[in-house]
Amino acid sequence: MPKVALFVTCVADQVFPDTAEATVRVLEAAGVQVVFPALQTCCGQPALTAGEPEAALRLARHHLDVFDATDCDAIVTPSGSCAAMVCHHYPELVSDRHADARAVAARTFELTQYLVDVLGVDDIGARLDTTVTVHDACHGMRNLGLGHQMRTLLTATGATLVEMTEADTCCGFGGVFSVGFPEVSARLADAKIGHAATTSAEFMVSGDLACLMHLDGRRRKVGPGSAPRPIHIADLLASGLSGRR
Amino acid sequence: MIDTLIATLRDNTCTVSGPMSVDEARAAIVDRIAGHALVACNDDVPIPGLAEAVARLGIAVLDPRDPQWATRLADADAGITGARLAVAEPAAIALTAAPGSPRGTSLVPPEHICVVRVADVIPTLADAMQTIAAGDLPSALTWIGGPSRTGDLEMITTLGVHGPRVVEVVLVT
Amino acid sequence: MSDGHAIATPGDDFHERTAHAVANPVLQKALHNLDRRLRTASTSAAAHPDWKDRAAAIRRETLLDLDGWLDRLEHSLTTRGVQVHRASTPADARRVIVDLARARGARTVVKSKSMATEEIDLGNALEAAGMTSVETDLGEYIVQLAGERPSHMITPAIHKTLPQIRDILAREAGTDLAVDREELTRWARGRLRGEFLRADIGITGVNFAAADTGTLVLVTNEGNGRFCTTVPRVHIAVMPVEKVIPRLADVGIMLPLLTSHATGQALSNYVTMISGPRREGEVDGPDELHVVFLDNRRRTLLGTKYEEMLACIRCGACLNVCPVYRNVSGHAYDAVYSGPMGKVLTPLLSGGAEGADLPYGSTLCHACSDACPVKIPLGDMILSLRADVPDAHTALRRRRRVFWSVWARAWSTPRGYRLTTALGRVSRGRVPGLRAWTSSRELPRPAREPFRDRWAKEHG
Repeated sequence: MPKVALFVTCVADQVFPDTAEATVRVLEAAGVQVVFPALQTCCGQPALTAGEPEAALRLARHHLDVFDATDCDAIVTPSGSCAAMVCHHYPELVSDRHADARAVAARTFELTQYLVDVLGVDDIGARLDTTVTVHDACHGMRNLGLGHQMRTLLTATGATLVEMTEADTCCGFGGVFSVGFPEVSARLADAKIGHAATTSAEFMVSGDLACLMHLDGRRRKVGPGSAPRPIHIADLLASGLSGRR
Repeated sequence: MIDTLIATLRDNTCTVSGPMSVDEARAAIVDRIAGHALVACNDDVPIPGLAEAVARLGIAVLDPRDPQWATRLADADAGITGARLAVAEPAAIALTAAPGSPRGTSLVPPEHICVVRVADVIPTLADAMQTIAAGDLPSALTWIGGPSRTGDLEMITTLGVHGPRVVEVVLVT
Repeated sequence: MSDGHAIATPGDDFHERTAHAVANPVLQKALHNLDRRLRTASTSAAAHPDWKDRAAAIRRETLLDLDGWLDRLEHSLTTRGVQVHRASTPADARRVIVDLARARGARTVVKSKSMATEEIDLGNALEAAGMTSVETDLGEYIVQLAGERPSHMITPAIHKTLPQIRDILAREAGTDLAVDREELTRWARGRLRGEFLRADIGITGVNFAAADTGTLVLVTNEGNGRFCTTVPRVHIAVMPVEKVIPRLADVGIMLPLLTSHATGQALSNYVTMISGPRREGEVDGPDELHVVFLDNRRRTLLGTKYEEMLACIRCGACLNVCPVYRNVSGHAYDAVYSGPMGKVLTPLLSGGAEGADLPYGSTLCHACSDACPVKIPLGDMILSLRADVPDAHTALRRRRRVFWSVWARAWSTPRGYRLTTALGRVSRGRVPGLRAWTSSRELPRPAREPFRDRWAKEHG
């Protein structure tokens, strides 16, 4: 049985613990043993995007220490952008521990990427009777090539997938951008919510909690209430495991 | 290849006729410019006797050697040129500047008639540039894809901004 | 004023301008039209996927020996009777051109669209020297009359609606004009035709300059570039040094790549390849051809992680796909170059004096990196510049550095992380940026306990 270390992410740990639990359930349903290295904190992405690589480096070193020491086949995270931080940025950022960084990066995967591309599992046994549309979160899509994996997992549940226009356009979160440029950030969220609403789907599914937090926050503030509910792929799949939908 | 060239030029709002023989082309062009008063004609047009045929209709022909060429060009109704070569993909026609073929003939008058020999049509721009770059280069080589155009007005294409509004391509065998 | 800038942006200027842009309904209506170009450009460029690799290789070949290629280009140009002038700074370039124009008694200058001439602020210099300088690209002409900068490198008046354009042209015409494209174009054609015919000097940019043959390549759709290089007796081309390419044959790929990414056209309507001034016996074309090589700190990028920015061919594709640009357009950047490439080039070419806050106005989505026909890693450069650019707001910068340093010290240990997040829960999330978030969004519903605590409970 493959053994996976959960790289939970600070956002999931602190703000969306249900999603973290759903991630574990989904992995276990796929036949994977999950361990949780309790000393992990944060990958450092917020500091890097704020233009403070020294601060990010501190966290990166700690992250490498934790996961280097963890015996597992893979490190899996429910966030495309956090996976991209490790895979795309760490090798250059942690230049004096280049080999360690590359080793950890090579074992780090986003959830859908791990299930479909590494495990080769399309169907984890979840069943969903609903219509969904996908928002392709930027870092996962552009840095890791994510996209088809989520769609494969969704259609395997029996859910109806309707593509929205501009599924791959940024939602406007962008890390510190969301508070440094709140007007443009909100405008982009509106555009995304508008496109999603045209599909008449029940859910807008994505692989990045930050995007979802931003989109859901905007949707709840200005609506329309009929727009698809933003939801993380792990939460949606997990809900289909107990046969509730 | 010729079909691709014709289709794309038409998509770019050119009028395209032929391939036809030189004699047929002469007659077609003369027919086309019947209502004009003044027409500029370059030396590189591969249709012998065209200038004479036009003059016979009573239309004034502006010759590049005319001492008033630049001033009179502004009043010309059309300019007729040949071409060095044409490329099918992307569709474009290359004109060479030379003593007998001034640049302005295909630029200033509102109508440009361009005679292209089928034998001078090459498949791609990349092929053409290899050949052109290896040979003697003229002072100006101008590629033309169709009538002058702009998208500056709310991003909708409008024709005839500075260059000719009408471009007619005549293919001859 | 966003409280988010305490942790994020070094200043608030770019933010404020974007906020104004988003709130401007006329601008937003004009920007809606950008979507049309987006769709055309992306479908056209998909036809030749290997071209990007080849083009990227050609550009990098040039950058590996930029000085060598410039020397070869100068030699080829000089052999063809072209006069080459080297300008280190915008002031040098202005001086060369104004001196040339004065020496020839020039009164009217016609300009074809050129970002390089914007960069050196040439129009104002010519006016100050008592000459009339007329922009001849229709979009540039419109913004010139409006007293504004171009807002997009390919479509300078993209921020204007048709009624606004009509007002601008009608004011200049001194007569009434209809809100009709054909009529407005006809009027502009007539007016600018007159300028072309009486111009003493034509000034253009350069899209590519081939070092092996000494050929300048100019791209337009309107024909104004052709007029500028055909009618006036003198043609001056302003060439940023990175426009040099090794071989004329290279344009077979570079040209369609440029035009497909810029406007979705397989090739622009006109491409002029100039190899020297007019020759013996030719009845039109310039008597004199001058090329000004403009450096303006470009060489300082060579050998740095930003070197690849010099591969840019000015197609504008990054502007068209940028989620920020699409919603605010060029003027919000308050710089010659806007969009993602402007975010990188502006702080670099000004040594941080200008545009230090531009790199923060990005969601780092990397649509620009994806769209770039010569594979410049724009997204990575924008991120790096947040750390690298020295900026004037040192007090703010220091405060930000302290914030993140404290944060990193806390969060790089499990204990520090637990303590600070517990504090955050107790203070109900009163963190920097909270106001900026809640001005337009609801907060996420609070979680009662973090995942790690739940796991510890379940797994002992």
